[in-house]
Amino acid sequence: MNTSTESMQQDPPERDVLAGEYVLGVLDGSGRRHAQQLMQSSDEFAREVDFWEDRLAALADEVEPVAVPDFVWARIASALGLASAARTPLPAAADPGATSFWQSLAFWRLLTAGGFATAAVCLFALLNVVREPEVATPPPVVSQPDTEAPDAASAGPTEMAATLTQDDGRPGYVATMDAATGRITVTPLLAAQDDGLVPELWLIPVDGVARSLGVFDETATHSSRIPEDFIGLLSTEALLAITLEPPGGAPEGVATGPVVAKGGIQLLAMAP
Amino acid sequence: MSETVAVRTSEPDEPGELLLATANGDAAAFERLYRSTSPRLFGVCLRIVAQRSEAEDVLQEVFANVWRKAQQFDPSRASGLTWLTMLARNKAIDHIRANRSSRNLGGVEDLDQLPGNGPDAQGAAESAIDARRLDVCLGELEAPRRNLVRTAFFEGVTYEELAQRSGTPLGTVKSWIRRSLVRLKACLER
Repeated sequence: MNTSTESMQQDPPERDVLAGEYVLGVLDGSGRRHAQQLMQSSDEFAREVDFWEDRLAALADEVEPVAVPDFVWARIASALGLASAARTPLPAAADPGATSFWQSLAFWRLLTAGGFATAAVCLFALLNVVREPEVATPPPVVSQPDTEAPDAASAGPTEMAATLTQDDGRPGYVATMDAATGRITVTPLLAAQDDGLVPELWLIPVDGVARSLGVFDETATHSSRIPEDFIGLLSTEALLAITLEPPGGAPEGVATGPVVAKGGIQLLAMAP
Repeated sequence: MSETVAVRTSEPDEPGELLLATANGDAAAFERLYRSTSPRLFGVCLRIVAQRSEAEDVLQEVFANVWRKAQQFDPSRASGLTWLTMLARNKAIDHIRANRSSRNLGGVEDLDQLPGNGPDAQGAAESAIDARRLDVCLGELEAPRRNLVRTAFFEGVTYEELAQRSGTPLGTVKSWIRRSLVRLKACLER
């Protein structure tokens, strides 16, 4: 027994055991690098690793799946250039990045089967803000909302609400809007963070361009007017999002902070 | 259940199909793959990299690798889910080796839980027979050794940490794990 125990403590062990150690995960950094090099240079060793991976993988079935925050996908898509290479804000319609942005938006909308890509749309919209929507080139794939939406606002339901949830799924803010009066009221649900930043509210209508609805106090319910031009953009297809910005709001009207909460708009009541 | 057998034999390897499409640059397939497998892979990463934000970084790295290296997936060598799971584990373990501060500070699995009692995640059907075989073979190991093997797999901790956590000399831990691997292999090949 003694001799075999000693043989089991010697380094390195037999190759099939080494492959098992690698897959199990007990090797230290240099041991792992050694094993990874061996996989490249020896087909036999690579097959041993395949064996262990195939057999031990069943253990992973015991691990409870964990929901991944939406922004992780947005980061992956962004890092891989899957959605948009145009990450700089668009100052005007002539910006050559505009086309790829709209293409990317179309890409996102095609991919969006549920709310999954919502956060990604938010992020890209905020990265591509224009201050004056009327100077933006009408996107080829999206109907221009400014001219068509007021109908819905005047004839349809006027009271709307949105629950803006954080990435962890907890509601962070509740917003209510009335298209008839142009009032929006935002109520923070969570304790304010003492980091010197202020929340800024953004409206992201169907064209994907974020419009600022201003900054507000994070400690109390806040009510303000929605700019006249934006009222027609309120719809159940639009999103509200909140970023954290320096006091006074996003410089140049371009969001600089991360999206901390977001949510879709729902109709509350039918107009009489 | 005969139906189950029929399903098993004809069951397509959906993550594998999506990986092959991803290898051809199909971004929609890549997103579907992300959507269907990321919660499982995130769970695996979180057991190894306890810090959530770091686990998110690891998951991002995993899928960046999937997008760039999907060509390396060989369906004759592994199922899609196994390939992805092992890629995620390897990235997570490499991460904690490079960042010692982020290691998990738990103990050794002390529940003498027989494998297979835990929640059965997706992919269970695919690996049901493998899992049963693994159950049987792990069940042949003495409980303390089985728990060391399980802790090593789930948390990706080194021999040194296993020795510290279990209060067992390093040489003994090495010997136990290596013996267990030898016995497991013999059993799994039966």
